[in-house]
Amino acid sequence: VEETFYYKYPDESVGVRTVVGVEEVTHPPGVTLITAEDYQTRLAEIEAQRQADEAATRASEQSQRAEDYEALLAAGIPEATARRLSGHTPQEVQE
Amino acid sequence: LTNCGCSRRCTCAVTAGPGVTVDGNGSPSNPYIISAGGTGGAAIATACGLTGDGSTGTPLAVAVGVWPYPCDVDDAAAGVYCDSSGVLRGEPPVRSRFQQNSLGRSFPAAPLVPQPEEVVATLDLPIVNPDPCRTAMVILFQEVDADLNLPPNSEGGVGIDTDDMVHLANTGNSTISREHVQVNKLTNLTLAPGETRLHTMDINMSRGAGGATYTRIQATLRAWVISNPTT
Repeated sequence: VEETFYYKYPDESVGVRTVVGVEEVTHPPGVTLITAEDYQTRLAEIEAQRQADEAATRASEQSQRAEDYEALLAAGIPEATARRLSGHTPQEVQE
Repeated sequence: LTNCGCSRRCTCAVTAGPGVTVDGNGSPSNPYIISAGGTGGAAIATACGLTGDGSTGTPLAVAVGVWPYPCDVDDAAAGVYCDSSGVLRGEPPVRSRFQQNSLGRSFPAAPLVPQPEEVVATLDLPIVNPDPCRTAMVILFQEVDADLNLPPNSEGGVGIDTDDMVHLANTGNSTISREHVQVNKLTNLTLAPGETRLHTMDINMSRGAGGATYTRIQATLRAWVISNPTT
């Protein structure tokens, strides 16, 4: 017999737990049992936040590389070398 | 024989039934002698599992097959037993069972990977030997997934119990987001007849540095319990 439980932890993390062949299921200390719908909603929020954080990190790092690239060009470094040193690639700007 | 007109000699007809012989004529000098039947004197009905007719030449016996195996019957054969109601019984059947506990946990706050080894999640499974007669072999599968965010010059690792199994480091100059690793172990346990044993698996992280974080941990315990006779 398979059973599925959805948890919300004190640190606001969420979990899905599936058990097979366990007669007496004990839940982790401190968790609140939530519905599948609440879990999916919360997971979607976490996922959206994660993607936003990653996009912000990526944009920041791309911006830093572009600055490095421009600084190297301004210092008279050949373009291909500036690109390799900075890690900046022109197509990054198009993302 | 008092009701069949007997005086000096019994006039009743005495007829031998199955498995019985009758001698004599009922006179005082030659009385009836009723005896059990001689060799094969009468067939004895038998159902499945018995052979013979009870005679000296073909005594009643348990019908058995020919031992077809290369091993020795005295050493290797299973037994036949009599239960409390007088019914023949064989060896107890072997039993098997599958159990699982799995968890997927997502962290909105993306905690830092700890530097000294630390338990970040725990999963347990009460493993049951369903056989009240035999010890059981347990094939235990333990699996952990971790998703790590690794900024430049960061590192971190994950493992099962005290065994560090994966270590990741980012020596580049851009962040690696949600680096995903999955590690697993296969091991064995032995359970006594009818025993239930709680197996606990710790998921550890260690060697965190440079702002490495984790965003998700998935873990699974699977147990196949088989009570085949083992040596």
